[in-house]
Amino acid sequence: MNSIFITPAQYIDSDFIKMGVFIFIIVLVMLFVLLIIRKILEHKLKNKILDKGISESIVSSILQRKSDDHHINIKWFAILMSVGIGLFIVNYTLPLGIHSFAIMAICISVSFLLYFWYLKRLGK
Amino acid sequence: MKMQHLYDKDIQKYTFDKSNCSSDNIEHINSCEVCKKVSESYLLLSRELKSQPEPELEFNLTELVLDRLAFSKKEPIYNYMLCLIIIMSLGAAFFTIYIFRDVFSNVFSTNITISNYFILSIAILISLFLGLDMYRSYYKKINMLKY
Repeated sequence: MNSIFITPAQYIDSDFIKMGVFIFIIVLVMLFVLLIIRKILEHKLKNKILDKGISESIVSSILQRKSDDHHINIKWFAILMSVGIGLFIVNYTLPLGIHSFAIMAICISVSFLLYFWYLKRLGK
Repeated sequence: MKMQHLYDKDIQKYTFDKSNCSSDNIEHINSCEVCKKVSESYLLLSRELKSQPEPELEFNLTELVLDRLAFSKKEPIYNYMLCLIIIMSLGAAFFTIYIFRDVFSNVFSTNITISNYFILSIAILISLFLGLDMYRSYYKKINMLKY
């Protein structure tokens, strides 16, 4: 891959564009898979609610998205922060190797742990 | 001296639950004609009510209620619809990839380097994170249903 840094006289490197498209495709595929999983889980939950015949007030409290929306900001903060810190550390351990995967896995898993610890504290 | 008659609830207690009635009340009722007559009238009323036949409706209530209940016959079809929609979505996605296969092959024409695997691994890890969070939220809601 050619140099990542773009000098004013050069066009955007084609490899850079290819990498961007690759990332975009991966993100699309992952979002699609996650959306399918979410729809399946929601469908299962609604079926169970209908089978149980629960009162309307309880159904509305279960299905409301408001409780999930509060945590979405913190969740994305944790994800992006961990990816950012991981990439920052990987930058100092170039070239890419197995250790880069390990660094990213550790950073994301630590953020995962902190996020769930935060949820547990909030739940109390 | 004016005799103090018992209250209705004491007379009823004497009539229907003599074992829990106080001895003073029992003694009074045995000696008082007025209270005795009230107790006998309660006993008579109770016997008459028990002798009455059970009410019967002229129409078949069970049939009428069942006719009103709308049994959802759509449930199995709806489940098949959901599967069909998922299959169609996947089909559309693969069809799109097939149509634009030249574009995709151009994008991936360079050798897949470690940086591509690196990006892929980050995407997989983030998806795992999001997927587990989704499942945790679903599990929490299912537990709420149990109570």
